[in-house]
Amino acid sequence: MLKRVLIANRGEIAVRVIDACQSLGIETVLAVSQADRDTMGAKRADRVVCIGPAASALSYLNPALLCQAALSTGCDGLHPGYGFLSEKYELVKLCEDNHLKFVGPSSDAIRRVGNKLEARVAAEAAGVPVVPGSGLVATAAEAAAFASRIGYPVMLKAASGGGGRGVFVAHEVAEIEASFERASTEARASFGDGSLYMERFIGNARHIEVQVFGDDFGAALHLGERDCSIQRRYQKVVEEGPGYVLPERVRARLYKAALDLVRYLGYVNAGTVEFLYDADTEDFFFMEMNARVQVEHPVTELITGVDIVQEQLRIASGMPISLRQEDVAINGHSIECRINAEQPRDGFMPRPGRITRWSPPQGPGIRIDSHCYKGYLVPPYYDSMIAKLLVHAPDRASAVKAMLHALEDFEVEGIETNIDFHRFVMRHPDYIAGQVNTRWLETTLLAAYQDK
Amino acid sequence: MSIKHEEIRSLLSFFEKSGWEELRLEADGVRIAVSKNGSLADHAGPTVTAAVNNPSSAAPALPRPNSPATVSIETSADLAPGQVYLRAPSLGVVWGRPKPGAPSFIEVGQMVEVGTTVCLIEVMKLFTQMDSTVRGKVVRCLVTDGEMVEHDTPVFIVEVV
Repeated sequence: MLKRVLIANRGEIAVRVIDACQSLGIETVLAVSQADRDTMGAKRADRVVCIGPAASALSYLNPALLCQAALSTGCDGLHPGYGFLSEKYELVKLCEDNHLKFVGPSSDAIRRVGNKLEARVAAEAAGVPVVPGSGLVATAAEAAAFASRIGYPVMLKAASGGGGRGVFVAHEVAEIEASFERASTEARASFGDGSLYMERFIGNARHIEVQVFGDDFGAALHLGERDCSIQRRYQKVVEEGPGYVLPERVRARLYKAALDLVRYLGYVNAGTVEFLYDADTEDFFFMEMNARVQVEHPVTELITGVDIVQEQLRIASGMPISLRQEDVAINGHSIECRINAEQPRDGFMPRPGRITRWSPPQGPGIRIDSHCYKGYLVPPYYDSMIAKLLVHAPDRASAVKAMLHALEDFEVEGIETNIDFHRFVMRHPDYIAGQVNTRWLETTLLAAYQDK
Repeated sequence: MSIKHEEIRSLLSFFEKSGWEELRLEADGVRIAVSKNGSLADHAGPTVTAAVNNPSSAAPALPRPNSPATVSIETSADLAPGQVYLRAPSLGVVWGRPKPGAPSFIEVGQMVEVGTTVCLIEVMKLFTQMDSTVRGKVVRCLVTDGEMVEHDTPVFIVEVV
């Protein structure tokens, strides 16, 4: 087992990884920016190292600082969390070159899966259905030519993008001509690479993702799927599992596709294979693979009873996956609401500030993953997520009710949050009936919320 | 002891910047007393009892047999009037010489100007120079060669001229 791990992240995931390490008897060193010196994670870690000022670019996004901190404190492992550098080749390579075990896949796998176009190519080679699309398109004219072949509407996507950023939709040639340059410029600004590719845009889609694991012994395992269709600007807002709309026959094909990709890549450690599911045709298409632990991993933990972060640490320690596929069982239904310090009525603008009251809901079937407490100053430098609220219940209908009760019991003062917005989602007849798709929140729900 | 070094450092840094003259802390079997006057009056001033909120009750002290790095903890008692810290601009390993065997960048007692290189800070084999931010006399060096410092850790004490 790894002996001492540097946690190269912050907020709730830092606390989560520290807890998992402590359960396994692994010592913890937390890298913090100056703004995070007094956080819950800093109090829980065995040791804290201040790696830089508040700005992420000068702290959490600097691979050399993180590796130096790990090496100088005698760490033999480094856990990247999610976001930040968790899928950055440079960090993984630096760890590999310095005999620091990266808790995640190899630098080679990260590189292959991180470039979204290369990932598509790998999926096709593995026999996984992909969204009809193109290779790189260098000009608006090329893009328009492809679009007329694969059919409108189309999406222009950044090859080096991900997390839903750098995506433009076009319904006709004029829109491609209008967006192409802007899409490329934004891609270069956000990801350092302006390369674009195109995919058909599926209007009535669900975002269905499969949690997977690989290990050093060639094993591949899935832990079922999650439905993350409730999104705003391609950022997930509510996630749940299992994917309740999937017929069993589709589920079986989905799992096979996900594991085929894991085996094809020789992928090691935790990952998530994301698909678009067209409910009208029962077709699913590979979208991308996330080579890290995800924000919404607790949804799967609640319905399977498996500790995903502990499993990551075990696999990174060179151990085989701790369970067989036949041991994996899905029990009940789980929903997660991402609680953010933001004001949905003001364009979802972040609302940092000091929490003066923090009273989350409690009880059986409720799980809170958070780094917040009364008196905590939510800083302005990072994303606005302050907690993940989850419920686990025997079926979806009870889970929705349980989440609504939990949200009604969640009291936060001192900062504005999206708790009231989540309550609105949980009360909405479309959501209760499960009649949603990836555009539902932005088109139907938001309009209703603004009218309230 | 359930208080972490980092908590003491934060508290002392706060004290240093505050208008307080003296601070006494008692928590979980630890007592700390610091003064800006050079001496501590017996039972003078308010007593600060900090309830240290430490949810991790079973965190053991971190044994570091293989780790060459320690981080020194400064106390405000180290800074006399007119003295300032030169703080590390970056996390990294401190080297007092441009290369092994060469003379040190500076010695204690030496005068420095704004911009005088005082040491190197190494991050993963990339070396940057740390320069003095004031004009004055180097009074003390707080770290040893090859020691890792964190961002903002005091490295030298300089008496400003």
